[in-house]
Amino acid sequence: MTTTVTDRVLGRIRYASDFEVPGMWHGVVVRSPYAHATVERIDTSAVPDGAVVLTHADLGDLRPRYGPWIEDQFVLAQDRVRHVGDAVVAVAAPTLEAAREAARVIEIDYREHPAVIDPLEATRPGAPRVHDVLVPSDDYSNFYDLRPSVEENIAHRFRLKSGRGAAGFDEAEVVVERRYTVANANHAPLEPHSTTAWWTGDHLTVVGGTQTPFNNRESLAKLFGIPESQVTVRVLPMGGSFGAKTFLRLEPVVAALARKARVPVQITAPREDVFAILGRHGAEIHVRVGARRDGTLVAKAIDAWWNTGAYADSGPGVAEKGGYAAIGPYRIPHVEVESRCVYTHLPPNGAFRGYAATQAVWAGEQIMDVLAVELGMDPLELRLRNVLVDGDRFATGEVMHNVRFKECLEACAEKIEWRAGRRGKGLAVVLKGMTTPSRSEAALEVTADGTILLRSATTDMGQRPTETQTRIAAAALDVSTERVVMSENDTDVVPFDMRTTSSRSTYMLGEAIGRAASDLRGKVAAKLGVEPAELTFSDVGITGGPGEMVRWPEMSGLVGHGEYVIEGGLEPDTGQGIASFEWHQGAAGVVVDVDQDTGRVTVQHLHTATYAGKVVDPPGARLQTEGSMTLGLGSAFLEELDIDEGQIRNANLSDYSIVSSADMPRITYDLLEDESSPPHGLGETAVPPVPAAIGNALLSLGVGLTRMPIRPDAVVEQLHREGEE
Amino acid sequence: MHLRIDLNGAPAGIEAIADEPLLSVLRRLGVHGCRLACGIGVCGTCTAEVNGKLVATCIYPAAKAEGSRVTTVEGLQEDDPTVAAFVAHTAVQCGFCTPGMVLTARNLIADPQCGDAEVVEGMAGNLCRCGSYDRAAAAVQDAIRAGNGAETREMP
Repeated sequence: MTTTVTDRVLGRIRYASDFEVPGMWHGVVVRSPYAHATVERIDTSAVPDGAVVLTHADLGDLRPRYGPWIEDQFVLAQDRVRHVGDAVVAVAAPTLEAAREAARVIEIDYREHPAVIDPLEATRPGAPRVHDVLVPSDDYSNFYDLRPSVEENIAHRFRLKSGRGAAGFDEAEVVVERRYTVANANHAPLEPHSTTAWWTGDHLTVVGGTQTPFNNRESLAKLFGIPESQVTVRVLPMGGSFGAKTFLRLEPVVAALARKARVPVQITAPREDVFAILGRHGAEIHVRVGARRDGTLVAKAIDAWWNTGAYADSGPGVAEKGGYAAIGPYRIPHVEVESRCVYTHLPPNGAFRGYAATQAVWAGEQIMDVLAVELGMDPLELRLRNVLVDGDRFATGEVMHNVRFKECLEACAEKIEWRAGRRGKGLAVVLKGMTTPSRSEAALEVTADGTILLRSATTDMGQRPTETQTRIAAAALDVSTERVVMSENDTDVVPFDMRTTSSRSTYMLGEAIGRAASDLRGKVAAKLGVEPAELTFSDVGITGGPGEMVRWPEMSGLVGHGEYVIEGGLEPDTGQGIASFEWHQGAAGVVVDVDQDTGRVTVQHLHTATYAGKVVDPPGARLQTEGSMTLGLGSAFLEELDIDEGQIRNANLSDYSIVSSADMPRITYDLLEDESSPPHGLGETAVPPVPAAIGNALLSLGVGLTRMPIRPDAVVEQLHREGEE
Repeated sequence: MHLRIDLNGAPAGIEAIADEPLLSVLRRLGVHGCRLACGIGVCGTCTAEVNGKLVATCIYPAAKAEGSRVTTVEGLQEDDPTVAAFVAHTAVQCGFCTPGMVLTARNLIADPQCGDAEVVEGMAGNLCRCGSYDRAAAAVQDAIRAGNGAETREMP
């Protein structure tokens, strides 16, 4: 399934929302208008014949709840709705118009309850409870012990302590402290979520866009009480995802509708529903850092609340990764972190490109500049004095290897001419983990015509996995890239892979494909009765065997299999262990101007530097970096859900602003390459340092902001305060 | 109502329901390059040309297109200068917004009065969540420099 750039430009690619199957019906979800309410009555008597209506009453034989980390989600509301947009009833009909018409005549009575929207309030005694029971999931996606607390509305509490923790502040000569907040946001992929499902007897087939096909297969099998072998998840290219299409989103309700309707059903989310399905965690992060007068860091404390909304989804992972990312890539003898994934009555939040690091770096890197001001030091010198280098221990206890934080910072400083004058300039650095532990498999099969079929579960959301992985396979087999073809992405066809998240695929699948190639070489050698080292592969065939050259079709049917597993993980109460097998490392440098009257901030130049290791697909690496920087700019200045008592007032692409071409400043970047290193994931590394670097540039002009996105009125307020002093 | 349009140079007829948007009709006619994203005419993903003018087909009434010449990305070839420039610059990631961008770019370039400022302003209505703006801008500049965008295009 190779889609070329030309195919994409000419619109020939088919996405999940283009999928059609004969006899397919269309579905609509009726969603709650209240943030927190009891469903008192559902009256579907006016629904015309020919439409199928699904309520919780139809789902008695299903597992009651599902969820990747905590089983807290319902296919349809049982008796209670927990956010505006919570699914209550679903309808399917032969046409979308008929389904919409049927949905319109359904009457639902609600009894409203007090809702809690702010994550700090949610953890306080007396706050409305979002859930009465919290059962950690035993899905593969949940790979560490959770610490949920029903009373405090907490899905997970990640703690880290190294050295003497917060007690270590007694060694500090200078201490600074700030409270940073980050707004809730939405992924806003241009292609909405779209899922089609049907049943063949007891076999469920689900077709759509997802980054997590194997997680979805496991969770759907459990939900419907069938073996995983009776669930097929087929993935089509996505018109963007950015984390939006992770874990089960529309899949359960579409599968349940199809089961009742006995026909294939498709739901494509209306834009408003995209905002109800999943978003990015808002966060409040209190950070305190202490240093000696000479700028040596001695202690850091982080207290964080991640607003996960009504369902945990991957929020526990966000609390963990955000908790340690806020520490930053520094040698600090005493560190203490408490990072909570908190339930509120908002739409659920989950994975979002930059995965918690964007929020964490906003806090963790701006406090560094606040400290630099207090110490009277150059913020770059402060960072370079403390930055982690190979052989240093991070606060998790792990020893750093293959790290280039210093080089990333230096590259940014050079490109924005930091040493020529710091006014209006800012820097920030990011340390971001890759999901650890994790596992990937790949297979390489010689087909009848002699081409090599690569079976990989990496999903396509525009990050060029086909270009990247066929290139890796070709290099490992000494054939040209054109000889390798990517297979369909279907859980019945491709071997297991954890998921396409966390910028892990090029590294993890790269290793698995390399092993599959070695395995295939071994199988070819065994068939020819020689040692693998005696053989030479080329596009034409294989030489070095007992006879003349063997053509590829003669090896038809041979399959090389490769598996790559990385171990690690953090202990949830101490934060000690292996956070990340390889580190995503980057920095940003920015030059800004501020309009003193309007508070409007103009970015004159944004530069990022990302450690890339070995670059496999140069256009892909560049596009990922450009996209990350663009998203970082949007996070910094624009993106925010406008929430009013649980209602999202800007759930459309007019009122919810994302970066347009007219907003683009001058952007440049470095990819720091090391041919001897494995590829380092870079699909999101350039997102997190961008807003913090802008915040630091503003601080250099006397504008100290704590809330993201940066709003002109907040800038004006700080400018005036500055004037009064 | 029965709707007749010229779709990418070939006559097409289809039954349209009252107040059906043009996008819905085009999709039923097998057009995949126009895609539903915002549904309110602000993101450019559903862009088509109707009698030489760019329209947001998600809000443009199909009935209004009766008898019109409609161009979608399916009507373009690989040697179209704008298409070639987008390919040359790899101005595409997921590709969902790209056909709309290409149509907008082509339309802008066709106007001999169009300068750099007009291109920046004209392209601002096509959102790209993957962030390929600089490449799209470079592709448009290239297509303008190629100088044949206007010549090869059929004017309404």
